[in-house]
Amino acid sequence: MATTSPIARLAALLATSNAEPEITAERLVPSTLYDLDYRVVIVAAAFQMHAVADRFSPRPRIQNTRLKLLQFVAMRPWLLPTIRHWSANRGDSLRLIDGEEGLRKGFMTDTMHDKVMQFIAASGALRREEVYVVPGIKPDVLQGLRSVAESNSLFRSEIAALSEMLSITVTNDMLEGW
Amino acid sequence: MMWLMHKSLYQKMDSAAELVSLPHGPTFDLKMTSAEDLLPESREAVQAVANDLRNDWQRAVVFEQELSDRMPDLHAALERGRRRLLMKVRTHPTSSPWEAITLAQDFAESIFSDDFSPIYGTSMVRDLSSGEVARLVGACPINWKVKAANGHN
Amino acid sequence: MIRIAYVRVSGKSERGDFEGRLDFGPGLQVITARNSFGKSLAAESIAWCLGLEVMLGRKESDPSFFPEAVLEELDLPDAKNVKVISSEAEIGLIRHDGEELRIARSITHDRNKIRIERIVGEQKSTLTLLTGYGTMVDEATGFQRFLFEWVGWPVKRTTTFEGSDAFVYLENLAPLFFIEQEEGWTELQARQISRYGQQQIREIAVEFLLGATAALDQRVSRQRTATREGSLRASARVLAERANQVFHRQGWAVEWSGNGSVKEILSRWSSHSIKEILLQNAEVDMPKSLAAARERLAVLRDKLTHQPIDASNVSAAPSASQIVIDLKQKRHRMNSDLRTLRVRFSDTQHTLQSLDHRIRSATDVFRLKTTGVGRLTHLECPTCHRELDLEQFHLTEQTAPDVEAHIEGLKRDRTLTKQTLVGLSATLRAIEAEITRTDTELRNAQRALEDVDATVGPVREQIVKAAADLATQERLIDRLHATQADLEELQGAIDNWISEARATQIDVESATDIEQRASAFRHALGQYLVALGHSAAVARGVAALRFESGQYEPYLDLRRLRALGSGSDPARLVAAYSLALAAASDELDGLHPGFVILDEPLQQNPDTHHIDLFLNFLSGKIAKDAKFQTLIFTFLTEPQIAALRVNGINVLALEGHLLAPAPATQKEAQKESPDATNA
Repeated sequence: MATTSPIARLAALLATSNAEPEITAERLVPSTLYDLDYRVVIVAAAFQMHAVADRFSPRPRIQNTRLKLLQFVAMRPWLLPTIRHWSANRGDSLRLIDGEEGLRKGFMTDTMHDKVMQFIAASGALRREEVYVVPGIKPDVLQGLRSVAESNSLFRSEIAALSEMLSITVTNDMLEGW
Repeated sequence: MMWLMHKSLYQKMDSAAELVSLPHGPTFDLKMTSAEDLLPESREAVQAVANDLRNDWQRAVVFEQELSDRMPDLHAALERGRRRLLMKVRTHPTSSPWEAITLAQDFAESIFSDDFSPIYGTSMVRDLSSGEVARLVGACPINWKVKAANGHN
Repeated sequence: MIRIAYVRVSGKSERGDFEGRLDFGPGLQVITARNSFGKSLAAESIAWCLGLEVMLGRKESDPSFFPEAVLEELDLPDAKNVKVISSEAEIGLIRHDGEELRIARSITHDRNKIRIERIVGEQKSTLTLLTGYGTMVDEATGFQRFLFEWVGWPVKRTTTFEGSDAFVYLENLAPLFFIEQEEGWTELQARQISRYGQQQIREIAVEFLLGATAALDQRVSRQRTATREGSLRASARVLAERANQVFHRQGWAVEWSGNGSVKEILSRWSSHSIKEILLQNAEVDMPKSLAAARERLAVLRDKLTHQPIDASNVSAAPSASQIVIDLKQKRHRMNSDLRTLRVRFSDTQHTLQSLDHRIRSATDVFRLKTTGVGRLTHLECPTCHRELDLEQFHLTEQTAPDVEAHIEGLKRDRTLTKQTLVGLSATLRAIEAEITRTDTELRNAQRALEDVDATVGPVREQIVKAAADLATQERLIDRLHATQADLEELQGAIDNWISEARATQIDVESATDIEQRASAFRHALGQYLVALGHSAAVARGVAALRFESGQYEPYLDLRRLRALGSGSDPARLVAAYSLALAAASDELDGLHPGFVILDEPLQQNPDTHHIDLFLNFLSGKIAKDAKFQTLIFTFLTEPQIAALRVNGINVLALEGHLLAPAPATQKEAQKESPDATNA
């Protein structure tokens, strides 16, 4: 026999009293993970801190999957130990732990990021060039967002996480699984 | 056997919930205290329900975190499901005010099963649903108040 | 009030005696001479006679700040590099009632002795006192103690940072009225002694000289209370740790907290005894447990001594063995539960950390929404310039109220998770306590099993088992007694702590006149700052001059005054501060000695403007009309001397070096050489 759920029991009890329910929908709000402003600031900071120019590209660029991982971890700094362990033990599948596979799965399936990147690309601030993300025709749109955030002490954990990621080696194998 | 694949997650959810002590968050406590005051003959029953709701709520907090870290798309589905659940409870045509609340668990299971059953199985969806419903009570979207003597507020 | 009547330096050299003397009157005097002519020697001699070498950064009785001229060699008018055999400094002080005091102290020999000559009318009395460590306590021969009494100063005690007592010494007060040339001008009370470790000595020195003795006493009393409170909190933590160790050893899941302020701990500890808390939270009732244990002991004794033994009963050994097995299994289960719980605890902590981050993050998003900082206000298509439609990209932008509601939800989740942690922690402690109890039972059971195993035959086994049970019970009773004694001792220590803590609760402080005195000081300071030409004070005015509550660092509006103004203003601030303190004390009948010494104020910044400002100040009413003695040692040019004298300022100009052959020596020299020119 199915056990009556706690809410049903509570409702059954309160129904015998002179109380009535009240639903306040405004109190239920999605996480700020789904707020565009937040996401844009994090992407801007991740790009500015991690995109590099090299002999193949005079403009700074970053792999799309790397940017995806960076913004994912920046918004979840408690995952840093997992990614550190993963990086330190990459290539030794026996030493990898369940969390690392979950982390890869996590950031790879972050479709919200894909939509944010489409939006940013539409604004001209960044664009996709093969597997890379490079500055778009209006790169100045995102410039300054990170320094404004830092000077106002906003998103310190996220920016600290991005800083820490500078010292963690992330290989293509980790990003793409090859 | 599907539940076995997620046993570690299941255990993690249970681990935080099983030995939970009463939270002292005033909002939830006040609600439960007021419920006890409204039902002096059923104090023990109210306390038992409060305990179960807190356990389920804690489980929901842990589950949400896991989803956000490992399956962000499912996390988005969870957020959408919450909203739909609240709307359904609010707008479901009922003959008595408490009927929709009574059905909240069933509503939740039906809303979340599409996205979560294929991955976690029915048993897990049941627990997920009770957790989300408990969170609606704990985090305040679902509340109750005493009717005025004339039946109006 | 006192003033300095004269300073004299004298000694013996290979060429005979030498001396130098400056006489001072009341009010303002400027002593001028070329560099190396001895004006600093005069100022240093005053410091030496007052035992202030410590203020100058020297050890006690170390005269190394003196020039060579009084230590090793000096130049006399008719000879250079004349070896000094001995030298001495002397000052004369005149008290407000006319009593004179002559203080002489050798520079080269017996430096810790000070010769005092007291002159009251025609009557003179002399005594030799000691200077240095301990001379404030030494009422018989201590120089500082004597001087304090002669000046009419109260002997005040203060508290060091280590919690011990210390006096307020002359060298703590002197940096406020003796501004020496090397470091005295760098900041207010630059030469304040810190090596004695007295708390708030700067403030205490100011309050002392202002005559705010009631405020000073209250300050010291608060220091003492704070020190005692610090020590009480530390001892409370130690006591609590002791109590918790006793509880843990016994396997009682009870906590005795030593955290919080003294008041909080006092309230908590005096509301329930250890006995009551143990009974309430762990159902521990020592007398009851002892009574039960004694009863059981009697039963076991009876069983061993009077009851018949069943020779066919072979269960003794197996039952002892089973008890051990059962206890081991129980312990194993509990250790397993403990390990699981610890993992759960760690996971819950992890959840809490992530909630904390999410709340911080959401709070930043809220700021972003409400202030607009870091927010992109407008994004458009770069080609058609139409604003981008979020819906087209399946994106959302939350409003500030949305984010606020989300934060509230997260906070509730966090509260719940914190309480889950508390619950887990309590359960962990309970299991750990139960494991401790089980370990004790297991040890006893193993001992009993060993004894039984060592015997042969069912009768002996039963006897041995009964004896083992009896021994176990006796040990239990001993432990209960020991525990009871521990608890009583603990309660005794706690009761002592409570008595001590109650004694420290501060009485309501009575009103003092510090506001009035500080206000007079502040007013005088403003006047002196403007008169001395402090650029910030002149530019902004001094209406907004203030002291921070309980301190005497001057602020102008919101800035420290020492941070304002030009490069030469710090020296003006120091001069103004010391003069204002003297003026305010005089107005309020305070405890200022009545003289201020400024050694080389113009050396701090010898540019013309700085000098002119200072000379104008000296010629002004505020300086000339001051009721206290002001001695200024500095170099002035002839025109400057003349200008000051025209304005009625007493300028004492040394034509040659302060030190010259003593008159007796000069006469002898003249006798020997009638053609020798006088110095």
